[in-house]
Amino acid sequence: MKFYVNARYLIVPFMSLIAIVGILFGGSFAWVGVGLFALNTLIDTLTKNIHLAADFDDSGESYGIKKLQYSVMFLMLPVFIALQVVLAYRIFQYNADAPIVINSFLGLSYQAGISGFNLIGATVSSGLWAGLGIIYGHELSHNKKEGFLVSRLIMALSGAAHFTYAHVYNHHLDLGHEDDPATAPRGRNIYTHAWLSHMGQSRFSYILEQQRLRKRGSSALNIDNRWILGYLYSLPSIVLFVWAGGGVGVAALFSVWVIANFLLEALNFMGHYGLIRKDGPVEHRHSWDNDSVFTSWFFIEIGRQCDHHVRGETYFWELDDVEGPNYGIGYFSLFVITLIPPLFRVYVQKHLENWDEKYASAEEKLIAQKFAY
Amino acid sequence: MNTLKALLIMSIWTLLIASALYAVGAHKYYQDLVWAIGIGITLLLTHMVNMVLYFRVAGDKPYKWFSSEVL
Repeated sequence: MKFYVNARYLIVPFMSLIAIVGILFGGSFAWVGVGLFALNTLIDTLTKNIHLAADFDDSGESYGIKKLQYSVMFLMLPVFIALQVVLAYRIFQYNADAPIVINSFLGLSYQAGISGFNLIGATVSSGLWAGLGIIYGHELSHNKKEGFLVSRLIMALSGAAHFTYAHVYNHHLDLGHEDDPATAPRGRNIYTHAWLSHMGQSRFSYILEQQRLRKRGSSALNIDNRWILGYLYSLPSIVLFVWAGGGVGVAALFSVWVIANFLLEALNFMGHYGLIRKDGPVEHRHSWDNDSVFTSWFFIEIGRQCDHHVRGETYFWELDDVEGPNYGIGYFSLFVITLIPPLFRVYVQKHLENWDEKYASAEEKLIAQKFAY
Repeated sequence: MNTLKALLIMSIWTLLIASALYAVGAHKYYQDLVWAIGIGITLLLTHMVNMVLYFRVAGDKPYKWFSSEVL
């Protein structure tokens, strides 16, 4: 049981490595990361009706092994660095017009050089897996020790180191309120939300640091400014891609950042769309749960938002079903629906009506009525 | 309106930096590591200035749930 509970959370590390190997092998294998994303969407859709609770032994102890899970999360930092390095390597080859030939290494054939089309595949693969990897940046942001720094470094690979502070000190405290840019109000589509949430979280971190340094009597233009420091953590990635491919490299890194941050904001969008909190403590009803089996295992239980937002420092393997509002389908399937805003509006309508009726307080209902939905 | 103004200013600022980089020959020398570091720092600063421009010009209106100003 212990092995099963811990091994089931290794899907992303395993698939991230496959995506890296795909880019290294080259040719059409550069698209493997995109293919895996499509495969995951299919699996998630087919298993949407399987919902499992967290597993505990007879004494109520979790089967999760903290040292193992934390080691995996920390090890994801070099994995995501490797993802960028192999993409930069391919960009370098493309830029140098390296001949596209089949070579062999230890008996394995791989393609040296890369076509423009397959470079697009490698870039999209990197963006998708950097974005999915943000689940580790999220989990570690709740760690007050070295995990917090690892979270910042993972997020910096996608140009979003500000997330770590904004998530804990803005999103968790202001959830369901317009002060939280990561909560999407009713009527907003995922594309607008991705922009506003990203900019809003960075803005929060920027203001937070200005106020902190002002209280200390320091200038905001200071290396102690954690907003500035967070962006500086992204500098090695930028230099690598500039050096590897000039304009092409910058365009590729920009694409990776856009895709990765879009996926991050999609998770925020799906976790809280349209839910409202009028003062008072954060309760289970202020998040959408998403606990179909594949989503739970793949996203290391990030879909158990209702429990997570009430017990923010609880390890992901201990999060459980709390019978909060639930879309009933997994994140991959829901993500596809959110990409088509008119379809999402129709889909979400019945869930919002249900929330208004069964979960909302009288004050929250009044706010809900103000939305022309 | 403020958001559009912010996006316009950000675009002008980015184009200015891109033109300056082109004018100094960044597109020819980027494979020199020192140049790559210089260009990287310039691009990062451009991005950070863009963020601050957006924060300052757009303000907090885009985040208000019942504001007409979103994008």
